Amino acid sequence: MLRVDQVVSGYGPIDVLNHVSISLEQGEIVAVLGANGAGKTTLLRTITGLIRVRKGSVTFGDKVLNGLSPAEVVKCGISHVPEGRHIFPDLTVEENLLLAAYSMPRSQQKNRLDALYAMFSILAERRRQAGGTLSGGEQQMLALARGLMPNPRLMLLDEPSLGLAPKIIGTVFDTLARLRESGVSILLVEQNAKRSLELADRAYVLVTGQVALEGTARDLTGNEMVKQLYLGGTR
Amino acid sequence: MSVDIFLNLTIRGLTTGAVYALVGMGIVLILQTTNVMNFAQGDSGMFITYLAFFMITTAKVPYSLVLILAILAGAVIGLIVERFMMRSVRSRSHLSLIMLTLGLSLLFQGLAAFLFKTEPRLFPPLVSGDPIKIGPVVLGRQDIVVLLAAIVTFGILYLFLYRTKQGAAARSISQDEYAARVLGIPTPSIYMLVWAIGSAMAGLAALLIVPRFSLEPSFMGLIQVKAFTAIVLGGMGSVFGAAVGGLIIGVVENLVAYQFPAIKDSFMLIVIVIVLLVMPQGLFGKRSQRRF
Repeated sequence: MLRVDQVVSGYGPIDVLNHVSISLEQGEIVAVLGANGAGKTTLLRTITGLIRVRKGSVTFGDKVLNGLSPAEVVKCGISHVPEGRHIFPDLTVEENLLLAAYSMPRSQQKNRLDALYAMFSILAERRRQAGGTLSGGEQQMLALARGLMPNPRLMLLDEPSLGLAPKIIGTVFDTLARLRESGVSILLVEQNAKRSLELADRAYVLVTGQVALEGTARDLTGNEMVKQLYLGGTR
Repeated sequence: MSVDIFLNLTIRGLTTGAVYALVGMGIVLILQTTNVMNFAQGDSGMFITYLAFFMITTAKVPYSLVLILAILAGAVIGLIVERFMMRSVRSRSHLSLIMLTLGLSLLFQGLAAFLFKTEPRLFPPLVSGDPIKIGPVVLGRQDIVVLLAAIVTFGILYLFLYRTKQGAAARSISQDEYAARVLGIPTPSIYMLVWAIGSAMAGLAALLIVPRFSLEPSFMGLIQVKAFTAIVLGGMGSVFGAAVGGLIIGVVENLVAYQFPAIKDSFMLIVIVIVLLVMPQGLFGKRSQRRF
């Protein structure tokens, strides 16, 4: 469904991604692992159109995403939940959600809201509350709900467990598992390699802007390099 | 100072303040959404007023129609400025955006002086007729129009910001522009819309105040300084703060001018300095602004 083919992209004079190719099929959860600065976030930003593709191509279904604006990419059915949650602090929970479906007709927005309030009851309770007054965990739930608001076929998740208490991280991953059942595909960037390999079907390991390893989550969990680098193995 | 004089000074100060508020609200709207301090706000209003002047005197267009055309012209100027100037510089540096608005201010003044000459012209008031007496207060008809226009504009702006999705998008951009882009909000069109609304407000404000002065290329200069004072007093962050700040400045200035005519204009500059020293967050601002 998603194909990133030999993509080069970056900031200013620097290429962060050097000929990265990844793919993702309908219904899959694919994890992208890698150290800080390996290009994980850049990969997501390139797919969403926040950064220009310099070489190569990004296709979604039969649509080429190269050169599309973030707004157009969302309309194609891809949503992006950024690292650090980025909740609008002075907007209400409901406004935060509605803005994520900016170009959707009103009646459809209403349906999405109802569906998400049913799924995240805490957000229904706090719908009139400013986003900034929510706890870290609640904000992450809001960020996930915002990602689901446009009814995407593919969600890009950037570090959804970052900075959260272990118990809440559990809730986040449970939510992601529930999403899999609803048929949303997920491209997951995570520091928490153990958790994400448990959840994902397949995974890629990025090292300095290139795909160093790829395989099923099970194979990578057994891989020596992955064990040492990301699963806390001893040398 | 008798109560009657005090009342008259206050009410008349409110009408001047309403104009400062109009200019200030436009500046804050653009500042908060697009992160650009628009130093050309006053002078774009001045330029629009010249256009309106020739529509009235040369083309003999009826005044009410001119008002609408002037607001539209303001919107178009705002669109052009954002689309063809701000947008191409936005990705480079923030300072150049601000320099660009300073340049624009000079451009409007130069263009007005070149096209329309610099001699002052008398601009007819929107409504003429005898002043209206309400109890002890004597109020010019134009003053009443100014007050009403400011109230209506504030209402429209409030509805835009809090009742439309474009307004919600503008507020979201002011809080977290990156997040807005990630969510797929078409930020370029919101920027254009906000510039259009802001510049239209500049045109309206200039058109309302000009009968009290005379039309010349520099007539909005001092008004813009006072609008800035209003913004600083209101706390930079909110359109509401700019409105209240403008009204306070208008009243205080009028009272000061009655007692100490010589320091009328310099008084406002002193106010800026004091506010920035004593309470830099202003009356309604937050201690830490999200944007800066």
